[in-house]
Amino acid sequence: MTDDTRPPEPASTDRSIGKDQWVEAAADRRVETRVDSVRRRISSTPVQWRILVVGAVALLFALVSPSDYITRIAFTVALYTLLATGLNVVVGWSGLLDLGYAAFFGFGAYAYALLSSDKFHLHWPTLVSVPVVVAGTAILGLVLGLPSRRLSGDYLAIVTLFFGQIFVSIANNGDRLQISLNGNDVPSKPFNLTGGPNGVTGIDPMSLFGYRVHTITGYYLVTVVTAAVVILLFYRLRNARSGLALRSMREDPLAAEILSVPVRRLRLVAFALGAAVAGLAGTIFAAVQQSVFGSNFDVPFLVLLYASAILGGLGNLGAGFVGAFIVAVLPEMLRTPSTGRLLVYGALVAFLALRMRPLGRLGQFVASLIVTGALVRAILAGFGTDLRPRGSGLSGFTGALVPHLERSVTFGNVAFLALIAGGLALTLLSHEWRPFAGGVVTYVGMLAWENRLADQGSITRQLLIGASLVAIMASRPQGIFGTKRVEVL
Amino acid sequence: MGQFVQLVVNGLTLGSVYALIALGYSLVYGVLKLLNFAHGEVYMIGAFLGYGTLHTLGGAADPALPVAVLLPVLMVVAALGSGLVGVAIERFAYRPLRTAPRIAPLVSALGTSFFLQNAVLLVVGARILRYESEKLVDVRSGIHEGVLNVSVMRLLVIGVSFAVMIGLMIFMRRSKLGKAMRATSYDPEAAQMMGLDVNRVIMVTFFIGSALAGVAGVMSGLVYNRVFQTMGFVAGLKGFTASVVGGIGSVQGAMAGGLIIGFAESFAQGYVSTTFYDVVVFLVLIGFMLIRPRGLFGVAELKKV
Amino acid sequence: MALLEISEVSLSFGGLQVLNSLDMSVAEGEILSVIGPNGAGKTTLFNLITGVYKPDSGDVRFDGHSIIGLDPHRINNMGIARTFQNLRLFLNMTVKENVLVTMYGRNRAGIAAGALGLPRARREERAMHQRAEELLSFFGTRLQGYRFDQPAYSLSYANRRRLEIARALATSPRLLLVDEPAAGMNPTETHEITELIGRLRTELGLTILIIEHDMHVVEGVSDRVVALDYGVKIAEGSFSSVATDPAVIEAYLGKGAATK
Repeated sequence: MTDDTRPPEPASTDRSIGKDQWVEAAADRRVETRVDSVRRRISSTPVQWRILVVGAVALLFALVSPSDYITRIAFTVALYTLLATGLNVVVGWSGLLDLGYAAFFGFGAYAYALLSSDKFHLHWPTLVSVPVVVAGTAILGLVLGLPSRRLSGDYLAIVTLFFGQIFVSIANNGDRLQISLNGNDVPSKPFNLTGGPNGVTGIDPMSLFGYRVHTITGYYLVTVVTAAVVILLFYRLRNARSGLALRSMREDPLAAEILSVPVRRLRLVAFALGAAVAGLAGTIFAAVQQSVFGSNFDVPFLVLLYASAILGGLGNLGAGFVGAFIVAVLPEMLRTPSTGRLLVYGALVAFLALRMRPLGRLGQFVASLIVTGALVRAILAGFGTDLRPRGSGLSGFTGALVPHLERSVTFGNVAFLALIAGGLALTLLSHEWRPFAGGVVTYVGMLAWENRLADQGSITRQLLIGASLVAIMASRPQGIFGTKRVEVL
Repeated sequence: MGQFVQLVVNGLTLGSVYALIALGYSLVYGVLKLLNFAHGEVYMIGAFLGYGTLHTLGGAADPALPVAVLLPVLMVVAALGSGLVGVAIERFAYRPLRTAPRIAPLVSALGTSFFLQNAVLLVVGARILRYESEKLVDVRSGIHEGVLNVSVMRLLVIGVSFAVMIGLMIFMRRSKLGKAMRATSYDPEAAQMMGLDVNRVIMVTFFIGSALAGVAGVMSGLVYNRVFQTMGFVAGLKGFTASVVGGIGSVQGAMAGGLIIGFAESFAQGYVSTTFYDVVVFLVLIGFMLIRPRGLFGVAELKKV
Repeated sequence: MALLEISEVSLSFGGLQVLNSLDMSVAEGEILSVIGPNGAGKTTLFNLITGVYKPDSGDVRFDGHSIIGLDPHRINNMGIARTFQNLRLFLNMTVKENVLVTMYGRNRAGIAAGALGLPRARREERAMHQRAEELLSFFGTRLQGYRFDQPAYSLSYANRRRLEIARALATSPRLLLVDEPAAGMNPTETHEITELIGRLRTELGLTILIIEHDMHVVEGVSDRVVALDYGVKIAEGSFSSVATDPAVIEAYLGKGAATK
């Protein structure tokens, strides 16, 4: 036997046990698409630069904004971005479902209102009142955080929701405060703290470094700068000692506590941080509106805030902007039927173009849409309904497709209910039936839109936000830009 | 004395309504460990369904059926309708999230609740509807002796609510389905491996809980005569705390909790403040949850490491 | 003097007596194994030492100070760290972040300093990062390089166990509690873990208390072994004396097994 018969030695000597080379080389095998390369280039830019660029663009927007109306929308986007950022710290980092968040915003607004209006004839300078209000809101956040020492999860969420309700109740009824222990005896003139349903009006505008801010453009600039600074600070904090500890609480509070993180104290800190940001946003809001009312800070507003924090991606600070953009611009689009129509049909066409592949499916969809339309028209004609289209342009076009009935409220309501039922049923159908059923549901949706939803822009917006929260939780709980999370339940 | 007795009666009536709502939370939490935030809206929809049925049948002034038949019909229709809404909520808003992050079902519930409120707002409008139950039965009937004044409607509400709860307790203990629900609540995975159709059990649980909320909605419409699209939120919140106070997951607990909240609210209204009674109730509840988070009838859960 | 002194500790859940008047001590620099059948109270003992549970009676002293009733993070700050039997990593944080988090107790920079990036916070962070990389290098190349920035959930089971240990080490403990480090590992990995535990003592000077079912590991690492059954200590001593103790054999194999 010679040495030649032996198998050759493996060429690579780098073969330690337990190391999977196939896994190790995974990154090299991945083929980079164009989207990937853009994403990589964006994510390899330092975060600070990205924030500064977005912030600078946002500031320049004030110069080109065609009208105060548009600037006001942009202001709302900036304000919601700020609020979503604060919410992100409490919910997205620390995993505390703080449903009293809207109340902190309200507290900030009311506190600023009381310190800077004719209400109590206090006119504190902005640079004094704002820090005081922010500190006060943070302390209130600490107080609300106290139950988190004993409660967690759903119970904590409910307690914070109670707090929100208590705040709204005090704001709405705080014009008749009096101490009486047996209910009958009225000792003195009731004390008016919050103005009750009339709110507080005549709030001073902000005055910064000698400049009085009195235009919406001014407030827009103030808010953009504030939001950018807050986001920058939080990005820095995210990877610092405290930020890491806060984030570990969402992952596994017990393991964090056992391994040196003072979880109960940091929960208070998280509540206080979130509250401080909300309070700061509240002062800006009060100064812009020049009036505050308890109903501004009730549950619907809370849902809007959660939507703006979640749609972009919870835990991702910058994504708050995306959610805020959707939540703030949507209602404006739906305000008038014509822009709303553009939005709705634009979204429909975009969806079809992107998702209806292959082309055959699109054909099935269109065929089903046309057949449904013809059937509905035939039935309506049978009842002797006037089906002549009204309007011109896009509305004339859709009017020709979808009948707009004279007595449209009941008809529209029925179509709306059918749309809900159909839309839900659609999610249960198998892939090959969806184009057909989708056509039917889409036509029903167009009926509901033309006959009812288009005229009720604000309700339609709420419906869309509610539905999108459910849909996004079911399909993409990490939000549009979030990365998928793994949780052991 | 007279006022005290009246407050007790008010508390009992309110408490009966809250207890029925609380049962829904408790049942659902029992099997899924999920806080069904949208439950209050189911209650609201029940109240509207009752109103719609009443009007279809000619309205309170001129009902097509005798009152003794009409009231059960209202409740059954509302129960069935609400039950179906509840089943739909479970199927579409919660089932896709069984394995999702902890926060997802709560957010989804918040969205559902918001959606339902606005859907009702769109279809019905923002006005407050009235059952006009005073036209159904003579307001002077009922018990009126000395300081005790209980209208027939209140008696009905209290009676129905207790009957339903006792029925439910027997159902949970005796029936096969009730046992399946209890088994699922202890350990859904084990129950599934033992051959239980857990999805069906969960569906039934949602149906029963939501049907009870529907009945509660009709009863509240009959007694308080006000039905509006935001009525479900605060009622749901109180129903939830009632179930927490009693010990979430326990039927007796929901009854006891409902009554406690009812009395707390009634006495706060009578003795503390007519505008801030909600604040008082919420503060009492926060205190209670802090002192005894597992509730009256609840069992402390072990921390798992 | 013993580093950890457990005296007369009893704990019950409802009617179930989980630990019954347990006495044991761990000397400085020692590697002590706790063995016993499932449900013997081993993990409960760890929970008790780390402050998750409070005993009904008895005392636990660390370095001469009673630690009963202290918050878990305080106990950790005194120098006790642990790993978890069923792995409780911060799954959505990166490998490096997992290690950085638990350095919380050993550092000072506050929220404001961290958010503003003050010089002392930056200095501290640099030191933390350096130490994290050092600790992760303890496991060879497995938790190195590109793995630093991968989320913990992307790790293999064995690597997760390693990260658990690194994370516990990051709190700079004097006493390390290791809960079933070899569970679910293959023979090679098990062998490696045995070596690693020895290295932790020689290179880092740790005292180690270890729960393990794999008797090869127990034999390989332990100076001393304590056997528990139904919350009672049934044997104590060298591995060979405990392994042949009739009470221990009976606890594992049933009555009469020792005499056959």
